[in-house]
Amino acid sequence: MAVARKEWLVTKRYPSWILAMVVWPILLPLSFAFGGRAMAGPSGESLAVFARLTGTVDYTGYVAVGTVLWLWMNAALWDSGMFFRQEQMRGTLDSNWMTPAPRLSHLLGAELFSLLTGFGMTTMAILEFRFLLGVRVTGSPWVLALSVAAVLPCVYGLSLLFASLVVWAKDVSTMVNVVRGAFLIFCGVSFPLAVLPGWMRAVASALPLTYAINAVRTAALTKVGLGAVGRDLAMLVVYGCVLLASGLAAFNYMERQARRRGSLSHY
Amino acid sequence: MRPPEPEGEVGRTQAGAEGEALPDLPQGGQAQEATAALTRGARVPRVPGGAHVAPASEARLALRAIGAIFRRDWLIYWRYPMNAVFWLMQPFIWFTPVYFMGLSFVEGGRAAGFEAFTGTSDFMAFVMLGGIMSNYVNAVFWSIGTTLKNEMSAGVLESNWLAPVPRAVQLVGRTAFSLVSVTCESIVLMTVMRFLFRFDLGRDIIPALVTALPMVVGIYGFGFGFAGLVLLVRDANTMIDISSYLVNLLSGSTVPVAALPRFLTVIAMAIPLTYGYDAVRAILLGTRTLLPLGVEQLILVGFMVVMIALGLWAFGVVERRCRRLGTLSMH
Repeated sequence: MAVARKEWLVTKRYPSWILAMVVWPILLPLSFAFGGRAMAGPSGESLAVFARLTGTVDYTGYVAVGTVLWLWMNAALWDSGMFFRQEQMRGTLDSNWMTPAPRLSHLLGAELFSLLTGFGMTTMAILEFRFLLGVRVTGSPWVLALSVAAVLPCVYGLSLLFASLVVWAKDVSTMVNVVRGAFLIFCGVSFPLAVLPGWMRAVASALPLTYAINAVRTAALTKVGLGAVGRDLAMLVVYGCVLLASGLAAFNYMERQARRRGSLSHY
Repeated sequence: MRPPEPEGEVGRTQAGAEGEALPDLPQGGQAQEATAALTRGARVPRVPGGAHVAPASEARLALRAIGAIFRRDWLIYWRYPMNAVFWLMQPFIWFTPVYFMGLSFVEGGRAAGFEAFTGTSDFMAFVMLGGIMSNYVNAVFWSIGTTLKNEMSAGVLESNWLAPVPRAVQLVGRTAFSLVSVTCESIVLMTVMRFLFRFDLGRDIIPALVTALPMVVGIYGFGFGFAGLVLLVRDANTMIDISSYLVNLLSGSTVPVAALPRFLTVIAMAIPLTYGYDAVRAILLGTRTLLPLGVEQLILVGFMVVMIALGLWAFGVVERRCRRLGTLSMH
C-alpha cells in the first residue's frame, strides 16, 4: 500500500501524466475508428464486406474494444517496466530493497497502482466512447465482467515478467515497443484475424491478448451467453496461471542474480 | 501510465558532456567579439583590426554549428543501437495494422468505400504517403522541443547556449539529424513496404517535393513556438505527444479529411498542413483535392512565412523572459 501511495504522489507531482491517462484512451482509437469510417465509405459501400468477416457493422465499437484492451496492456507494461528502471536511475532501488519489507511487495505495490490507474483509464475510455462516439455495450454485463476479470491475471502476470526482464536488460522503451507492436500486429486489435495470412494467424493463436480481445469484444458487442466466450475464457485462465507463475519465478531469479553479481544499481 | 518516451531515457543529449565542441570557430579576441555579436544576434559584428564578419561568414559559422550539432546527435544515436533498430521497426508496427484493417473492407481487390471518399482505391499508397510526410513534420515538431527538454534535464542547456551560436541556429541544428534519419528510414520503408504491400506512389516526385517544401519549412515556425513552450512549462512530453497526434490526425495524414465527422472537418480545414497532405496526394496519386491545387500551394507558402515569423517571435519573447527570471536550468 505504501508503494502504491508513493507512486500516486509521484504521479500527482506531474499533472501532464494524469492528462495523458485521461486523453490517450479516447485519442488513440480515434485514428482506427476514423480509418474504419474512411474504408466503409460515405454511404457504407464497403460495410457489408466488414460485416461478413466480423459479424457486426459497428466498426467503431469493434475497434474501441481492441484498442482499449491494447492500451491497458501497454500501460501495464510501461508501469511495471518503468517502476524498477526509474528506481535504478534515481539510485533508490538498493536502499528501498534494504528495507525489511519483502522484495516482491515493492513490485506488487506498483502493480496495485497500475491496476487502479488501468481501471480508471478503461472506465474513462468506456464513458468517452459511449458519449462521444455513440458506442453501446449490447451484451450481457455479467459475461462482460467475467471476461474482463479473466483478462486481469494475464495482463499483470505479463507485466511481472516484464519488470524482471527490464531490470536484466536495462532498457524499457525498446522492449515495450517491440512487445506492444507484436500485439498490435498479430492480435486483431483493429481488424478480424480472418484477413491475416496463415502463419500470422498461428502466431496470433499463441498470444493471450488475442483471446482477451475476442472474449471482451464478443461479450460487449453481441447478445450471446457464456458459452460463446467459454473457450476464450478457458485459454485466458490457463495463460493467466502460466504468466503469473513465470512472472514470480522470473522476479525471484532476477533478484538472486542481481544480488550475486551486485548489478542492482547498474544502468 | 507514464508518458511515452520517444528517446528512451531522458538525459542523454549532452553536448558538453559528450566532449563535443563547436569546431573551427574564430579564436582569441576575434572569437570573443564574434561570440558576443552572434549571441546578441547582431548582423555585422566588428572584430579586432576593423574587419567585419560578413553575412557570408555568419552563414558559414551557422553551417559549422549545425554540422557540429548533427555530429553530436549522430554519436548519441549510435550509442543506443537498439533504438536505431526500433526506429526502423516502428513504421512497420504502425502501418501493418492499417493494411490489414483496410483489407477487411476490400472486395475483389477494390476498396469501393475508400474510393468514394478520396478518388483512389489504393488506400495503402494514401496512408504510406501521409505517414512519410508526417514523419518529416514530426521530426521537426519533436526534435526541437524534445532535445531542449533533454538538455534541460541533463543540465547542459545553459552551457550549450553560451556557445557563440544564435539560438535559432541551435534550434534548427537539432532537426538536422532527425531529417536525415527520417529520409533514410523513409527510403528503407518505401522499398520494403512497396515489396510487401504493392502500392504505387506515382512519378511526379519533383512537383510533389516542391509543394511539400513550404509545409516542412513552416513547421519550423511551429517548432520554434513549441521550444518556447518547453522552456515555460518544462515537462512538455505529453503536450508534444498529444498536439502532434491531433494535428496529424485532423490534417489527414492517414485518414481522408472527408471521412472525419463534420465538426472536425471544419477544424481540419483551418490547419494549413491539411492542404500540404492533400496537394501532394493529388499530385502523386490523383486524389480529389479539397480546394483547387494552386490555391492549396499558395496557402502553404503563406503558412511558411507566417509561421516562421510567429514562431521566432514567440521563442524570442519566452527566451528573454527565462533569462530575466533565471529559470533556464530549472526542470
